[in-house]
Amino acid sequence: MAARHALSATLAALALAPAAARGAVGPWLEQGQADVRLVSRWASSGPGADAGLGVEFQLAPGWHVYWKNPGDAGYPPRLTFSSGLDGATLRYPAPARFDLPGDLVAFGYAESVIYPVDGRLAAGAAGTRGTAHLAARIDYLVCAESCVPHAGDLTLDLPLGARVEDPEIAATVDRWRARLSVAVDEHAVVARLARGRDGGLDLALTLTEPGLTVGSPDLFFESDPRLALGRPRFEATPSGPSFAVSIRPLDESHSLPDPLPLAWTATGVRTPTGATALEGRLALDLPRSKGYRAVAAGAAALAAVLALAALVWRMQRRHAAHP
Amino acid sequence: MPRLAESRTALAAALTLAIPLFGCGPSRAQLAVGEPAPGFALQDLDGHEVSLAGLRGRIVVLEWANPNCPFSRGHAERKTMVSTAARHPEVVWLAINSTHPSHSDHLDPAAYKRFLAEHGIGYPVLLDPTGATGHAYGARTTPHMFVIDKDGKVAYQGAIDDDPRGHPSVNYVDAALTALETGHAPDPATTRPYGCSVKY
Repeated sequence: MAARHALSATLAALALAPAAARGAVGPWLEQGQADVRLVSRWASSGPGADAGLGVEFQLAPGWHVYWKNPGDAGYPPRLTFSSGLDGATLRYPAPARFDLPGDLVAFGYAESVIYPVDGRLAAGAAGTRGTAHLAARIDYLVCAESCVPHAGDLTLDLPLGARVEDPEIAATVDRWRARLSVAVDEHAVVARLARGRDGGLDLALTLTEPGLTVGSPDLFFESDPRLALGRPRFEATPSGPSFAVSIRPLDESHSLPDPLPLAWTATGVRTPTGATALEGRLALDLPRSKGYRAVAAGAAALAAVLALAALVWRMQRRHAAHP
Repeated sequence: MPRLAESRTALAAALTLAIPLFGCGPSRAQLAVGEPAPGFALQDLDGHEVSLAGLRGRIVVLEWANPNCPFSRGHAERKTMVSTAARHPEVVWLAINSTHPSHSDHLDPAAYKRFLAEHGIGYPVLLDPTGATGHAYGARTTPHMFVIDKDGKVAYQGAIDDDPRGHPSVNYVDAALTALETGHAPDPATTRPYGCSVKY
């Protein structure tokens, strides 16, 4: 694992920095496929103030850990603080997509990740030697083709005092924090749900916020387990970046909730303010089932017939005028 | 030229209206609740054939299993499947292993039997070396559970319970079997399975 730690060059260099303010890092929990520790962007901080925490994973080649929606299998880390932090919330940076054997898709992180942790240093966090002692239990799954569940204890002793930033660790933690998705205004999204083939649904989601630039876009969902969602297909449209997704109900015995709640996260898009991932929630009205399809099909067929009739009529008129 | 433009416009309008009728998109081959359970005839570890057709009229549980998967092993150690099956003695409980024989997770029958004996597992294990049955059901993980009602339709599919970490508050399969035994439809009937990928 030493080689992997060496890859974390930014943080490793800090150990050699003699006089600079050093951000606090906890001891590595070494578990074979992954090494895990707590880090703080602060060299010192006070009770009641932001602890600037993150959970850093250094992963062995080929292994990954999970986003809040793990995809077809797996589960995200769970972090439970026993001391030192109030209001602890694990946050999930924009994920990557992994295609796994068995036609599975996973959402998460390979090589390394820092999950930012929101929370304030507890008032009673003062430990010995002027530090706040933070202790948490981490419980996570790490997968390659196979998966290994792990659990263990993480600690961090954060010096108490005026809040002083460690610029290098702060930059590393902040780089991952910058990958947290930002909620978009509901008016900056156009979502349409239509009946698709085989009784499924076709969702078209377009981001209409002005000034978006697109890198390698992808779309992730947190959805009802009764839905199988296809791989999003991206298209640049005049209205903005757009994704088409097929949705197939997996349960014919129960009707889906109507409207259908769907939380989404778009990655690989950049807003003018610098956000690199966007998120939102949809409440989609389900198209009427068979009745709707029949009416829609009838209306479309009637419209097609009328349009063709108009075409023929126009051609006949032209022909009559210019025989 | 106006004539041509107008004609194209009218034709385009007709086609635009027609396109949604033929909308398409990829869909994963995953069996949905309410669909007929695909038939199979697979051999157990002693070479005896077990067919789904021969079980019509019984409630059947299919458990996709792989003793080399930490999730399957965890459930074996915690007796999750054995104790759930014991609460429903009228139900036929079958494990299906779709691990490809060339995969490192593959176990020969003797080693498999030792694993079953060590963990007190007495229900049959069916071998699906081609993966055909696993693919027909869309089995994705070990474990991935399917409950088939007496009419041969899928009544539940998904996870065994609500906690992949091993501290569940709800055993979905237990609840589904209780529902079916009392004349009710399982609710939930579909959950997200968890575990290792099936080693097809």
